[in-house]
Parts: sequence; C-alpha cells; structure tokens
Amino acid sequence: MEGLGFYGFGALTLLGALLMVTSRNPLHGVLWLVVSFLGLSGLFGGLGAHFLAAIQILVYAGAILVLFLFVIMLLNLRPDDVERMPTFSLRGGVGGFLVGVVGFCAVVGSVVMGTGAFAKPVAGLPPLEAGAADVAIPLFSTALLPFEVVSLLLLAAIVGSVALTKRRLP
Amino acid sequence: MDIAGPFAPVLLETLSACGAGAVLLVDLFTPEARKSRVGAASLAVTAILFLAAWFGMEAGGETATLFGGSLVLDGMAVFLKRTFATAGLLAVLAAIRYEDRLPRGRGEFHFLLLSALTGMFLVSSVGDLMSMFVSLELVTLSFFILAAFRRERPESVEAGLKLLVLGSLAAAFVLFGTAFLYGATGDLTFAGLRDHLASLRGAPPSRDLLLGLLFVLLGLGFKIGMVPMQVWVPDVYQGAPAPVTAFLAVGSKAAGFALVLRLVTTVAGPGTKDSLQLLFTALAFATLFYGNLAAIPQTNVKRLLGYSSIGHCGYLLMGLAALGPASYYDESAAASGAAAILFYLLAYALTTFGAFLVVILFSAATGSDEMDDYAGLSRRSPLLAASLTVALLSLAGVPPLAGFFGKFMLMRSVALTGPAGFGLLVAGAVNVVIGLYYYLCLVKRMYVHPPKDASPLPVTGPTAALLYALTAALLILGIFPGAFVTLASDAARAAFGVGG
Repeated sequence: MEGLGFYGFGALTLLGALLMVTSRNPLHGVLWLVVSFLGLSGLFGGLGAHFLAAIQILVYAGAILVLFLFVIMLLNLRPDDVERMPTFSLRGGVGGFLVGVVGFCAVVGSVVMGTGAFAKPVAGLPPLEAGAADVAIPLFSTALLPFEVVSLLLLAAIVGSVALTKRRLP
Repeated sequence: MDIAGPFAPVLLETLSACGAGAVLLVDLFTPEARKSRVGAASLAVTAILFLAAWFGMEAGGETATLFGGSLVLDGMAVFLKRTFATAGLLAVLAAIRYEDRLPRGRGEFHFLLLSALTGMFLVSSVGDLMSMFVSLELVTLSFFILAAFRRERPESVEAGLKLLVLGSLAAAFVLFGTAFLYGATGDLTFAGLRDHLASLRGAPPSRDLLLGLLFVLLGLGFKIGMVPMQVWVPDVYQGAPAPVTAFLAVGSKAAGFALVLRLVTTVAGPGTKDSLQLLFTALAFATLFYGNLAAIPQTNVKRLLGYSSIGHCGYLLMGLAALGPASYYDESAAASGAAAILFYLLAYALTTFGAFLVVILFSAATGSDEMDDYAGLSRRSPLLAASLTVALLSLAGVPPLAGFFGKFMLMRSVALTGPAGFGLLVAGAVNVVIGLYYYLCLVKRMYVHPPKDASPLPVTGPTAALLYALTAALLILGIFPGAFVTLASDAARAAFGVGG
C-alpha cells in the first residue's frame, strides 16, 4: 500500500514536471507545476513529514504559483507570441536527455548496487515525524545559523530585485 | 591580537553584514549630487574588515566553534578570511572607479558586493552541510544580480541569467549530494562525516556516500570553474561589469575551494584517498588543458581572463591531486597541497585585481575590451601597460612574482606524491608554456604594435598609487613569501591533523 502511494505520487510529480516544461502556453505550464507540487506534497506526506506537506501546498502551490500566474497575466502575452515560442530544439533535447540518462543511471545504480539508502535507512537516523514542532525546534537550536543566513539571503534578494527593476531617476 | 574573544568566528560576518546595512542607509540619506559618499562608506567598511581580518584575529589559536559547531574558526578559515577581506577591499576600490558607468543603484551595488563578501566569510568557516549550502547561495545570489546590474546591456543580462540558471543547477547538485550524504551517515555536520568514516576503520565507504560526495564536489566545481562545470565562465566574465568579474573570479573560486578543501580534509583517509586522488588528477588534467587551450584564440580581454581562470582552477586542482596513492601516501604531501592552494588563492586574488583594474581603467577611457585596442598601450600610458604586464606575468608564473611561487608550491606538492604525480607535473609544465604564450601575445600588442589612436590615457594620483601598491604586493609575495607560506602551511597541517 505504501509502495502504491510512493509510486503514484512520484509519477504524478514527474508527469506534472514533464508537462510543465513541454506545454507551449505559460499559463498551462504554471498549472501543471501545481499538479507536480501536489504530487510532491503527497510524497512528503507519505514520508511522515505532514508539516512539510501542508507547507508545500500552502506556500508553493498556493501563494507562489498564484504570484506566477499574476505575473504571466500582467505580461499580457498575445496568442501569436505564444506560437513563436520555441518548444523543442534538437540540441537542447539531446543534451537534456543525456543529462537525464546519467542522473537516472547514477541513482538507480546506487540503489541497486549500493547498500541502498532508500531501501534500508541507516540506524541512528531520527524517526521521520516531522510535525511543526520537529521543524521549529531545530530552527532555533541546531539550525540557527542557516536560519539567520537565510534572512540575509532574502534581504539580498529583495535589494537585488529592487535594483534590477528600478527605473533611471529623472 | 584577538579582538573578539569567544565571538571571533562571527566577527567578520557580523561586521560585514552590519556594514552592508549601513551602506544601504547612507545611500538612502544621501542626495543624488553627493552619491560618491556611498562608495566612501563601502570603502570604510571593507577597510575595517581588512584590518580586522589581518590584525584582529589569531591565526595560530585554538579552533573556536559557535552555533553548536555550525561555524568553525581554525587556521584555514582565518587564512581564507584574510584572502576574502583583501579581495573585498580591492573589489570596492575597483567598483569606485567603475560606478560612474552604473546608471542607477550605487547603494545597491555596494550592498550586494558586501553581502557576497559576508557569504564568503561564512563559507570559509562553515561546519555543516546546511550552513554550507545557504552561505554558498548567498554568494551566488549576490553575484548573479551584480552580473546583470547593467540591465541596459544585453551581455550583462545574459551573464546574470546564465549565472542564475546554471547556478541553480549546481545548487541542485549540492543539495542532491547532501541528501545522499545524510542518508549514508545520518548526520549533516563535517565532524559527523569524519566520525562516520573513522568508524569504518579503513574499509571503503558505501556507494551512497561516494555518490553524495561526487555530487557535492560537482556542485562546488561550478563555483570554481572546473571542467565539466565550466560552461558559464567565459560568457559571464565577458558580460558582467568588470569589477564584478574580478570579484567573481577571485571570490567564487576561493569560496568553492574553501569548501572543497574543507570537504577533502574531512573525508581524506585510508578508505577514500585513492579514489579522491584519481578523481582530482583527472579533473586537473581536463581543466588545465581546456582552460589554457581555449584561451589561445580569444580576442576579448575579459574572455581571455575567463578562460585563463579555468586554467588556474586546473593548477589549484593539482594541489588536491597531491593526496597521493596509498603506497606513497604521505600526510605532508596532502598538507603541502592544501597549503599551496591557500597561498595560490591569495596570490591569484592580488594578481586578478591587478589585471582587472587596468581593464576597468582602459575600458572607462576607450569603451573597449578588445585585445586589438590594447595595441601600443605602452606609448599611451606606460603605467597601465606596465601594471598589466606584471599582472599577466604573475598569472603566467614568471619569477619573481607571486604567481610563480604559488605554482612552484603546487608543483612541489604533486612531486612529493612520487611517480604517480609525474604525468600531472608534465601536464602542469606544458600548460605554463601555453599560458605564457597567450599572455605574452597581449604583452606584445601593448609594447610592440603601433597604437591605432595615440592619445595618452591619463591616470589620476590615487589610481596610480593603487596600481603601484598592487604591483609591489605581487613582487613582495613572490620575493618574500616566507611569512605567508608559514601561515598557510600551519593552517593546512592543522586541517589534516599533522603535527607541526
């Protein structure tokens, strides 16, 4: 039963991602990304990370993709703009395919030939019960430094986006 | 002198993050006509950082940790922080000479330079993989905005976009590898990784661990411009504003090597060193030949320096190949390789800024980065031509300059590994000759070819002083490297756990 959920949600995630990059209309692309995120959220739920699963839907599928939709609508693309967008180039396709094959072989090879981190979790890993408290407590103890650095990272991102979009002053 | 006591591991990070905020505030309260104050504020911040790094921190002190081991201050971290502080000061000095050409946002430009610098300080002393990832992203994010800063030039936007897209791919590699490392060891800290490997007692580690390590190294290889992760380098170097290119060349490479060194000193042991040595030897070969051969046909100076920076990544990788095969494994070879990398990064920082400062001044006066326009520069401005020549010769590795001694140390560490390093030594020597060829082609243009436009290029007093200072620094580091070599070797020996 667990396996069914894993493969089902995994397939949903991959399918959504595939249709996202292949769809010609950017709006469709965003909607397929929502599907992919829903699948990802299902995977998190299956791992016992219920908090992450909820956050995935609330923040990514909910807030961020709605923002994407707004931006794409504000761009006001005409249908013939969409028609002219390249969807597939041979060079890019072959390159992407090769990268995909290498990555796939690496992962499958390691799972099949190796000790298999997926098949058999290492003894000593904390049990996966990632509720809100399990995320919040490390945030202010063991992961305090990365948490603080992320705030700096966000500040740099805000300043950067202002700087890149600012008009020349009169 | 230790001015920060128990807070030494966060001294520079705190100062530069606060300084970045202060620069933003100065920008906010400065009228448009007096915007040069923003650059002055930024210069003051980096000058304080420079003094604090070189004179306010103990290099040989005990290893200090903060945040439960998330930040570690050891000799290697202190040496790297000094390199970064020097690079930051030079980057701001270069940016001040460039900022008239920025259409908008001087405050933001300096803020992002300082936030990248903060990320570099953090990178040099992180103690776990999560902090490593976040600090590295702080550096990359600041850089891709800086690269795209001259939005009105398509090349600049292209540079920023390439850095963003390929940087995200590299970040995904690092994260993917981190997940595998966590799966294999159950721990995200470097100390935990070291304990896990020690508990294997010389047995080879699991494939998951090796795969995770490989992915993290490939992701870091993006930052240092290592083949096969080097595709972004030439376009970004050419398109980004010149001070950003110089800071990126030095900062990104040193930040990447700081983490590669941290990772290698953590995992190098009887069970892993054979594979690591083989890996780094192959990567050094590929990177050396790719960078130096592709530099030969270039016609744009920034692009030439981009390819040559790939070549320099190859030389630096030689220091990691000095881990040595099992039979010749000698702790001192590994430590001398790491020491050589630390020294080379410092020398490379000074040299790169020496070269890029001339590129900035030349393109400010003529609007061109093409090598053909450098023809006859010695007659138009003897100082610019001489400074660039010294910097290029140092990059090529001609004695008695800093670059020569760095290359000498790297080659020596490879030689210490015995016959296994012979092939790499030959490759290094061949590449020095190739490098000398294309650097001298530019020197020949400046000194032999007649100028197309003979108007002199004036250099103002402070700028001339900076050029003299950088040239003097290259000579001092090449002729009297003793003090710096001692610092670097002590740091490297401590990192590998070898007694002094």
